[in-house]
Amino acid sequence: MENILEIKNLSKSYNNFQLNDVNFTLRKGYIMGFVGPNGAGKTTTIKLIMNLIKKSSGEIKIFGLDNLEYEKEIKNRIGFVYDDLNFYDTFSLKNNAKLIADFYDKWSWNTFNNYMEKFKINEDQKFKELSKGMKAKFALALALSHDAELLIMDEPTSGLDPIFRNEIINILQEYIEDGSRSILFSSHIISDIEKMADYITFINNGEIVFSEDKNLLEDTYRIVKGGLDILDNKLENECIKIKRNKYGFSGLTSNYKNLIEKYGSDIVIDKPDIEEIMIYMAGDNE
Amino acid sequence: MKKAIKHNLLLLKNMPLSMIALLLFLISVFIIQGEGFFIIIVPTVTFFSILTMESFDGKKYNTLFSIPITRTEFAKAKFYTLLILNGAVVLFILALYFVCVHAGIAKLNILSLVLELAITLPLSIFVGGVLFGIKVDYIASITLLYILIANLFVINVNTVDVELQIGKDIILDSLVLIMWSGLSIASYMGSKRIIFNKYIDMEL
Repeated sequence: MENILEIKNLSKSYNNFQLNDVNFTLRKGYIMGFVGPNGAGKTTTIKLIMNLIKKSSGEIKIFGLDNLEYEKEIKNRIGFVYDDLNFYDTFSLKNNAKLIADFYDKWSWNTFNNYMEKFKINEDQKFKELSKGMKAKFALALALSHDAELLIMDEPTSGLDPIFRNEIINILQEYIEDGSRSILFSSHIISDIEKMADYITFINNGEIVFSEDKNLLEDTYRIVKGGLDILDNKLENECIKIKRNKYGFSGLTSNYKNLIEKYGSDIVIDKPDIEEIMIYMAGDNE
Repeated sequence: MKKAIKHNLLLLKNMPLSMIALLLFLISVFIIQGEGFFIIIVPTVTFFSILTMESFDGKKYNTLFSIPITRTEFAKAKFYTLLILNGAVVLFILALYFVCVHAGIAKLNILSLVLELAITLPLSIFVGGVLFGIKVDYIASITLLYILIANLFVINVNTVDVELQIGKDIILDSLVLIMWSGLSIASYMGSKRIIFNKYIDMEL
């Protein structure tokens, strides 16, 4: 299947932060949730993809093309929504759109007007007069009005109430329905990612912890719980991460079938949600 | 690149009224005064135009560099916008000057006009490049400082009782012309370099 986005050994060094050897791919027709705690490197990775900052090393291919060599062609096929919604505050939304629209080969005013109508946004309003939710919707209308094949969204739902977030998620799901478009969606709101993502890439401390199919991820991992008296070296080795407290232990494992066979009713096995998997993966043994 | 130049020029339609009022005031004062009209007005209009553009674009580079345009095209567009602006302002101010001369408001002084324009062009392009290169927060202060310094320069030149030797000696005239050409080329190259360095190396 065709890869829309391929990132290989991508690194970027700052004085106080390093994005280290990032690798992942996004296939055509899918939504990838790009998750991680604040300061993990999500925005840095997105800025590198968009050539807003310069990489230290590595390779980024979008639609099979190098992102620096074919920057203009690639950006014509990308829609973007960022957390810091930077448009012209004192201009009307129509004039804001005009300033952006000119640069896109496939811009459609029809599509833009339809989205504005759908989102109930008055194009004569000034950008600064909009609420944060409406600003996000306007940015989304701009991103969706030039037939973008890849949407890159950096925390588009942060600071929005659940109803707004849900609306945006529905719009995005509708947008990729035909299977020809993809979305890279960064967020630290895991419930949003769980609702819409097909793949999840988890980044922590500038390194990719995993990049996997969401369903596979949910099927692979289990949380094992039990008393401290049964926690031996073997059990500990079967767990990716372990947390201990005075009542017992809990750990994340992918070998739960073996553990059930060995420990039977001495242990309890639970199915974790994505958030729990991430918390275990990101944390240290306790 | 044409789209980016158009984008830059479209932003000028939104020049704040306070800036337009200040420009009208300066134009009225200096056209009546006569001396210093070009040396003060042409760069000031150019610098206020840069201030207008950069006030809008200055904090939106995340958005601007995400749309289909390369950094090089963006930098080129800024540089050519500066040249276009400068040329357009010179033509507009010249036209205004001749209208005022015709109406009897200003006195025609060809030597002063040629000299002022000769100084203004490289100066305006070089300082314009510097203004594009610095943070938008400092552009207004530098423009006001320029008006002050240029005004002091004009007052001082007017009070010095020295006869200009231009047009009296062919060798001296040639040397002045060579120096002016060198200065113009240097200001063009310098300005281009400052603008390119800023936008191509910018990390957001």
